[in-house]
Amino acid sequence: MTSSETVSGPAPSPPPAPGSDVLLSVRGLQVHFPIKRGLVFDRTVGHVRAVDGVDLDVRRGQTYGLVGESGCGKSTFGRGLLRLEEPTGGSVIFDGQDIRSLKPEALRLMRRRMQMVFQDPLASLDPRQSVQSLLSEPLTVHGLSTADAEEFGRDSSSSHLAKAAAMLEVVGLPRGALAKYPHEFSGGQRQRIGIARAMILNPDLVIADEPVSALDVSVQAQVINLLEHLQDLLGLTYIVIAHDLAVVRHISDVIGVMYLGRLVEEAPSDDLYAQPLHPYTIALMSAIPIPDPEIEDHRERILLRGDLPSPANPPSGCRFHTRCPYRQQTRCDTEEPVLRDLGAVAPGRRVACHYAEEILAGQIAISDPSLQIDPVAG
Amino acid sequence: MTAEPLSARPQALTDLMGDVGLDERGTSLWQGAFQRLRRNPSAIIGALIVLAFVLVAVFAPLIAPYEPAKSQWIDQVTPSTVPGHSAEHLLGLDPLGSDLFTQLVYGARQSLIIGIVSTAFGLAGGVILGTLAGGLGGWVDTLVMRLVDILLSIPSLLLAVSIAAMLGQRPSAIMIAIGAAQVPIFARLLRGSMLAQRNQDYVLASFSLGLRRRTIVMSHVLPNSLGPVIVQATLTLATAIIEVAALSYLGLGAPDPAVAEWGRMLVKAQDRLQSDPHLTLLPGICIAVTALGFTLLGESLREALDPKSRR
Ligand SMILES: Nc1ncnc2c1ncn2[C@@H]1O[C@H](COP(=O)(O)OP(=O)(O)OP(=O)(O)O)[C@@H](O)[C@H]1O
Ligand code: SF4
Ligand SMILES: [Mg+2]
Repeated sequence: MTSSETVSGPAPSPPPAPGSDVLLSVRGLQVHFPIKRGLVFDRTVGHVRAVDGVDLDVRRGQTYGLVGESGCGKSTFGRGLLRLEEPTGGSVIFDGQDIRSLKPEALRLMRRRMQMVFQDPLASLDPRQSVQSLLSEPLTVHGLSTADAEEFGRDSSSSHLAKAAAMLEVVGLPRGALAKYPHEFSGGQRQRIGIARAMILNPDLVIADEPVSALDVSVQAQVINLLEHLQDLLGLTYIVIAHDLAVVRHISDVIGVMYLGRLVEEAPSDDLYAQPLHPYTIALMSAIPIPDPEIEDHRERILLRGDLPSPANPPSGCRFHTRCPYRQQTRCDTEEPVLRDLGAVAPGRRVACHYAEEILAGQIAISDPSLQIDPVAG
Repeated sequence: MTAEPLSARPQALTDLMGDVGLDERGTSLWQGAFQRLRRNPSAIIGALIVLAFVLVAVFAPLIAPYEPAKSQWIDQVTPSTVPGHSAEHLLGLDPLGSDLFTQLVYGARQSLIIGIVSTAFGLAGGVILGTLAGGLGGWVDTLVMRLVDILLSIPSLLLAVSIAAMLGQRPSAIMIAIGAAQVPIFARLLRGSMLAQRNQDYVLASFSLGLRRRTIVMSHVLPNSLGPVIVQATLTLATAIIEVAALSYLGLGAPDPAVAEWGRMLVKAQDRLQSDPHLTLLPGICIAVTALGFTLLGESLREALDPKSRR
């Protein structure tokens, strides 16, 4: 089978019951892709450990921001949750139900409650479908929800059309858009269509995989605002994926930072920005300016050197040790740090670094001074 | 639009349907492609050639002055000469003593039938195999593609010749032979195109919306993969016409030597290439021009369907 034992944190709390505060509970999730070689018979010569043991909880009505460099496994994690990519280990409990144990048909029906918004809006819409067809297709499959049936009438193509038009209005597109095709819209409008389609089934959870990174900077804020507006309107729970901390900052309640298939830090959004604890988060934060001059002047800023190591062969010990400026000879190369609660030092936060406390207290200096960005010059 | 009674908010709904129908009209991919085709001169030339060819084939009995394959003027043909242009015979006689113009006109009909039937046969077989391989994946894919690889490793004309020889001298033999040789080409093309489509986000989106796999393959992946296959079919019509000629030339055509067919006309005329070059030249030109028409049309279609040419 796959890889080594998962080193997971102190397995927090038993799976939540249906209707509890925690909508989604993920434990030790793994998605490994086999690497195949061979001319005639495919031989598995290894695995790409795209997602390699992720634990997290998402609370109802909240937004969980997931950030990390390109290739760290964010999209694969999102797809693994919906079983669009079949997980190879771990569990996903959605509203008290174990997603991984669902039979194909039950999974198909369950999908109405978990939807996805994609990075490239044009690629995520069938170019041959008109907007009307795009929006009514999910309704044909699952039918209108009870509340919608009350408002728009008995399940029929006319009530589906009415719901589709209403949904378009909610995302800020004219009804005339129904007759058009995806290639006739701008990027921002296409993403609105993608969002309308994801929301038309009244899902509970929406996973937005880099929803704005393919859009012009000028429309990014509009789309983010739309997502926030819909969250309030429809009572949605979000997982928003981004490669850049700046995008998720103001919409997230909690932010998880991913590195090479694992979560390295998790904290309430404001806390993370005020004081990143994991060296990787510190490096990510160094890349973005902070408007508050107080913090800007005093924060530690470091450069991220080198490339992301291959997820097929992650470094031993701490996965970040090949790039970490705080790396210590003693434990970093050999012992894998667990994602642990820092307790009184930083309540409500989890960090996967052996030396988080010492770094916070300023007791460990950066080993290679060239990596430090001079606070005056930088 | 629908027969369902408008139970709730009928007024709002009527407004809405009216709204949609009025001035806002979308342009679907095929409509867009057609608009681009109309602006492309080589598409127009190709379409005109193909149209002329089809009209001649369909209205052959009206256009041709005589019945086909009547050798009633055989006495006018001598071992050394065939009569050229005259009042009764616009293009003169062929070496068997029938009217050359009539032969050419009926040849169009023969080529069109064989071209369309064999391409349709190849297309149907290829689409079935390609959809199985590209839609189901797994061992079905492996099995189908191995079969296709084997067939593709044989040169298509050789494959067609073997199949035609196996089926014997039947009129359908040549069509089956040419079609069968096209099956692996269509299958491979469609499978590749489907695999490329299957990795698109819209397929992932369809799964996450809870659509059934069958629906996704048949109503999303397949229709989006057909573009290159349709282009190929148009181009194949051109090759099929040439291959019919080639097979006839090799003596594998329809058994009735009297049936007008451009390829066989070439064969019959070849010993008179020196003295009467027009006997080979005219059917040759017919084959070349028709093939050119289909090729121009196919290439323009490819261009028009290319997503990059969309604005
Ligand atoms: N189907 C697959 N087969 C094999 N490897 C895959 C597959 N999908 C993803 N990977 C690998 O898994 C790793 C994580 O990919 P993923 O797309 O999840 O990253 P990401 O964090 O979303 O990056 P990006 O910001 O570029 O979208 C990458 O190394 C990628 O090459
Ligand atoms: S465990 Fe060591 S290598 Fe890993 S982040 Fe902490 S200091 Fe850096
Ligand atoms: Mg991604």
